[in-house]
Amino acid sequence: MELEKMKLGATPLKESDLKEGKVLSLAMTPDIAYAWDNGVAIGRYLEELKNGRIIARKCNKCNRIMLPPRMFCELCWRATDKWVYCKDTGTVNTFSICYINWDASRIPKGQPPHIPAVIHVDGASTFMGILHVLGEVDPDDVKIGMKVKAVWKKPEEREGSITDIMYWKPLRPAQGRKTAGRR
Amino acid sequence: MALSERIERNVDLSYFEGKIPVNYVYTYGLGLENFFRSIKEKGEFLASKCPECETTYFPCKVFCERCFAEITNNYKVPGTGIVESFTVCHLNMDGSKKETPAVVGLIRIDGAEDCVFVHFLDISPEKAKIGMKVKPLLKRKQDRDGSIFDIVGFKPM
Amino acid sequence: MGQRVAIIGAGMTKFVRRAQETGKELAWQAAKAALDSCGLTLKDIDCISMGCAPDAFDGVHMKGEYLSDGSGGWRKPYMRHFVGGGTGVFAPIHGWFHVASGVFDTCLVVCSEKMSSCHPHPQGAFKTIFDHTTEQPLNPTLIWIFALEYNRYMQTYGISKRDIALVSVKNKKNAIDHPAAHLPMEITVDDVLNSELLAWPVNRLDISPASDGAAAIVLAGERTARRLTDKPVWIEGVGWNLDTAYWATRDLAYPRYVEKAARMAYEMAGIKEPKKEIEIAEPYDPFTYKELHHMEGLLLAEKGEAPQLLVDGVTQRDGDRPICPSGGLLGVGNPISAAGLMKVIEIFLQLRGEAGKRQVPGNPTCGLAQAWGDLMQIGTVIVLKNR
Repeated sequence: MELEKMKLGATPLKESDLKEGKVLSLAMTPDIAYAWDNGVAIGRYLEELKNGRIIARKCNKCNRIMLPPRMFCELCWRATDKWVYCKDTGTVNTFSICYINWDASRIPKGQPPHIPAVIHVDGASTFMGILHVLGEVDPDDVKIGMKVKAVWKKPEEREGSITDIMYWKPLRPAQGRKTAGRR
Repeated sequence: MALSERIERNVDLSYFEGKIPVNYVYTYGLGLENFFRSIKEKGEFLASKCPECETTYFPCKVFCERCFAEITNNYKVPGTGIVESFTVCHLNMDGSKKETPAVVGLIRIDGAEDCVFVHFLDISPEKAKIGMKVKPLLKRKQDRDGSIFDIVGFKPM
Repeated sequence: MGQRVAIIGAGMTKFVRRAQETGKELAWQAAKAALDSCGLTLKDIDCISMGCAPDAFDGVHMKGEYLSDGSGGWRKPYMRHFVGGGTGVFAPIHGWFHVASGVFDTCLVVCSEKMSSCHPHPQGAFKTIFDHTTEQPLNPTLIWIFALEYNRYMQTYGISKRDIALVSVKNKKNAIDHPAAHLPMEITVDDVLNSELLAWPVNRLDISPASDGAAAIVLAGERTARRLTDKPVWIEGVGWNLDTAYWATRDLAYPRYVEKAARMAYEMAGIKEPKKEIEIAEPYDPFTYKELHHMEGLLLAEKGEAPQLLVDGVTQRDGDRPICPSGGLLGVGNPISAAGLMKVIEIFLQLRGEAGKRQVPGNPTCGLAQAWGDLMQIGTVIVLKNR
């Protein structure tokens, strides 16, 4: 058998075939909303974010200080032992400069791109990265290994969400480091 | 192994709200394209019969689920049938009460007896009976758009 | 182990951006073609293994149940499996369980995907694979995670975007010879680098297209396989492995979970030196750098050295170790689970000498397919041999 000799199914359509009704189709938007329980670890994490602090959780067996905090250690497979505050500074492990929104629509020209990054937070164990975004920085100055500091919402505007940190900005002005940036 | 901390007071429970932000456009596919186009344009109902095992399908299909044969021929059926079962529905999707209860029927279609078809029965709940003969009620041609609601429902014959 | 298992037949649909067929109809087209290819009918099939990606793409809740008729599941032992993007290569593994155990003698393995139902783009559904509380509020796109990994990979090994872009050039060109391909193209490295920048370092031509499509294979136990075909392709090793659910804490430069999955499959297949023994491979390539990343995880290249093999032409179809001779996801398309199974089918055809214009020279006897998925953390690996 060769694919070349088979009758291959699938009838390709253009988007206009749907819009112009050349083939029948049905549009549907499911209307489902969720309330996800935070549980103990993430509940406390969010509560502390509201206070302007980052809290982690430590496992006394592997000695990892884990972010986001969790009530059980997935490596040692046992309950974690204590709460540990981290600093609100960290190091950029990797980053991207993103010109599209979450729905794949384009960020309008003239508006700054998003700069998502994996940030290793000071005070948590090495490699305990969290996903967040960078700000107050020229995209071309972002470097892997760059030190950054959290920029918080005003206390009265915080709501117990990861977005209580608006973004992370460089701890120091741009400097010539030997790490790869986009430039 | 117990977790080392637990939430003792239910007022300390917290949650985070969100949605799954998706929209869909479903194509009808090859089988249902024929079925609904025939209703929309000609007011005719199409069924199909497997050329190998003779299983009948309503709506018409392009393959037989039992023996996997390709089905290329459809045939017309009157759309009439017999109520196999029914239920009376008093609530809306959001749990609120319906002004008038809706009767939903399973209808075994004449000429395609291997399948049952689900639709509303245009009848008051107390009159609905298993075994009753029903026929489809179509929208006027100019109002039909190729959807399942081109069939308004089934009413007693 | 109960018995040795072979792939004896395969079929697929074209991969297209938007198919008129429903997911069921696509599944049937591929499954019927697979049965026809080995002269079997549904009656000859003992059980069905069905693989498909998250329900949110098709917009059909309980997609396994929905796709059962098109997959041949009517009144048969039927089971759906799902490991995200890794599903397509997990599919033959899942089918293998059924037959290798000796419980069944034949198994039809089907993967079907209808990504185009998700409007205007599947990205809305992809957003929800991130953690709902600690990540989704940041409005991530799926491309973030790839861009972040891509950047880390470049930085760790000092690799350039130019070298990585060559993956797209190679695979889209290979796909020109694939009759089911969605996005076959003759392009240059500069075309990739100059295509729309979506999330640096990821350009548009670094990404495989979202496609509709289905693929299917037929598995049989040893005695039945030998009776039905003189060219069985044996499943000699299977492996799969997951990394931590906290993706941002992973080593983003090296897919250790893929290595663990590969080692499991190699051990089962008796492979001691993968670089010598694996003659042809289809690592998962939804994004350009992933092909290279995965070659390293599969121990087919030293860490950071896969780009050099690419630049040297080793991974071309006529090179010493052809990689993604089908055209991969970048060229043939990416209907998630069906794309992974397409890779398995390619190795099957190559080992039978039935890959048409795509046939690699040298009569390969041992090949591998791999996929990757869930929240970017599972590796699924299968090793096939033709003797």
